[in-house]
Amino acid sequence: MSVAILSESSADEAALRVLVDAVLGVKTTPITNFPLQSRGFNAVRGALAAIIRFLHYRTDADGLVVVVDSNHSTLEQAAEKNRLRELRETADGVRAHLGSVAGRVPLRVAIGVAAPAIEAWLLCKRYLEISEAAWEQGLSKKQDPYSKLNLKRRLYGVEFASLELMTEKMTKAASELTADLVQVERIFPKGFGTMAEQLRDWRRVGR
Amino acid sequence: MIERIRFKNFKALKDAEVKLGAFNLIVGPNGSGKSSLLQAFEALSNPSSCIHRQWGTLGATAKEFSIELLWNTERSSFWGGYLFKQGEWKFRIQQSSGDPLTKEIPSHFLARVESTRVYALEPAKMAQSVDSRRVAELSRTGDNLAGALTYLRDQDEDAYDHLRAELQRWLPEFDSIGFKNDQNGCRELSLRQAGSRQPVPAKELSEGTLLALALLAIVYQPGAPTLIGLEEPDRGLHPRLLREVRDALYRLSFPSDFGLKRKPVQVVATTHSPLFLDLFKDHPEQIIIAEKNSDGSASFRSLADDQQLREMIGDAPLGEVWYSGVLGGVPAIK
Repeated sequence: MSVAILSESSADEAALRVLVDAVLGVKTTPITNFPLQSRGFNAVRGALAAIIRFLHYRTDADGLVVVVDSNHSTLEQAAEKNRLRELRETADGVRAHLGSVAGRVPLRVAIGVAAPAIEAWLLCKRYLEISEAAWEQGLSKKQDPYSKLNLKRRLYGVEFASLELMTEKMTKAASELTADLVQVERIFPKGFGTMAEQLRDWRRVGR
Repeated sequence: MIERIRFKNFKALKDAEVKLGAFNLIVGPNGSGKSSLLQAFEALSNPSSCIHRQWGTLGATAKEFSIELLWNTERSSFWGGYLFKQGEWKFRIQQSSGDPLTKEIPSHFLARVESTRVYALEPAKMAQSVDSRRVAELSRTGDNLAGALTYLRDQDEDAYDHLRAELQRWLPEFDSIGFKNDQNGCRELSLRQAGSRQPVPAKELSEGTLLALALLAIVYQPGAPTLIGLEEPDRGLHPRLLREVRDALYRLSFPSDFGLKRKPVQVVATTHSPLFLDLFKDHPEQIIIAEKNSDGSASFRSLADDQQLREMIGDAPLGEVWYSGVLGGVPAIK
């Protein structure tokens, strides 16, 4: 299965591919000669429609996984600015108008939002205080329970991690999570759980 | 480490001071003193070679200017530097705490300034063949790149291998660095294409490729300086390589975080790239904003010192915020 992953760095992508493969139960392959990379939510929001159209018409991609950091935005469904909903609406709107290409269904899209960053997902089994609920509660009180920088320090063990070190640590942490993804879904029900549910839908809807 | 540097009548830096950390990235409009700051390090490292330059405030009446540093030793703190007056440089220490002052230039001052290196790389010059004699250090413009790389290859095989591996990661289309001596005894640099295994001579390489190679030569050069000043290390490189550039510079400033056991190198770099600036969002203490004031003078301030501004910025991409003008450090186009 050919799956493109759109995230903020090649290290993020490596870790996400481990998680995506575990949810799908298959070893996915990246899109040849088309390494996607984003520069944060605003850039993804701006480019997502074009990326979906490109993948659908010009590549053999079966699916696209998009993961952005929530930073200080909320994942509450009713919130006016909800990154998960904004990206989902964009993706659904584009997919609805994709023309047919012989032998393929419209590109599948799964979207995740990590609160506040992917490192939180990767650390949640090692540190019980790290959770979507804790982050959301902190947002409502305007008091962060931890910072992104703090999460990075905990995962990488240094202040200024190279991309190589990040890739190594993130991939290792992601691999450790694969044995119990249900727990990750429980700890991050909106940002990770929703994405996992979408990925499982890919399996249910065959090509 | 140099903690601070202050200026009187040095080019546009009429009365300016800047706080420095282990790594520093300066943003600001053209003519806001970024390059002057780097030139100051050159002047301090070798003041006698700089006498001929017209570095006093241009068009002003001031015929003297000064560049001074704040640095710490184990027991003391010093303000000291050079005053250029009546055509001569004079060393002076104006303020200190701890150890008593001496009239001699203290060795701990010299240790901090003598091995500073400033680079304003010029790809056209880097592509030139060089005298085949070995050189230990890359020059200011990188015009001895072939010589500096040969020296590294012969003196520090491990570092040279790491450089080659990193170059392959940055530019996978090349798999090897080559050198060729011509009939005139000059040495030419080339990179070998990974697929065809054909060498591409330096003069046919792109500017970005040469800049990337020179940047790696700086990072891996033996006998690392105490301070490196770099004009626009992001110049000419693909945006996706900027993260690699940041890592390479961080490796100089924070070697222990990269598993290295050598002394940190203080880095002062300039940029005009919002994309490069974005990479430093988590470390406002590393961002220095240079301003061009209405009277023609220039000044510096640290983003870390403006807590309120940082709160206002929130999660917004730093590069976008800077471009918008919120950070300051933008040209006053009318």
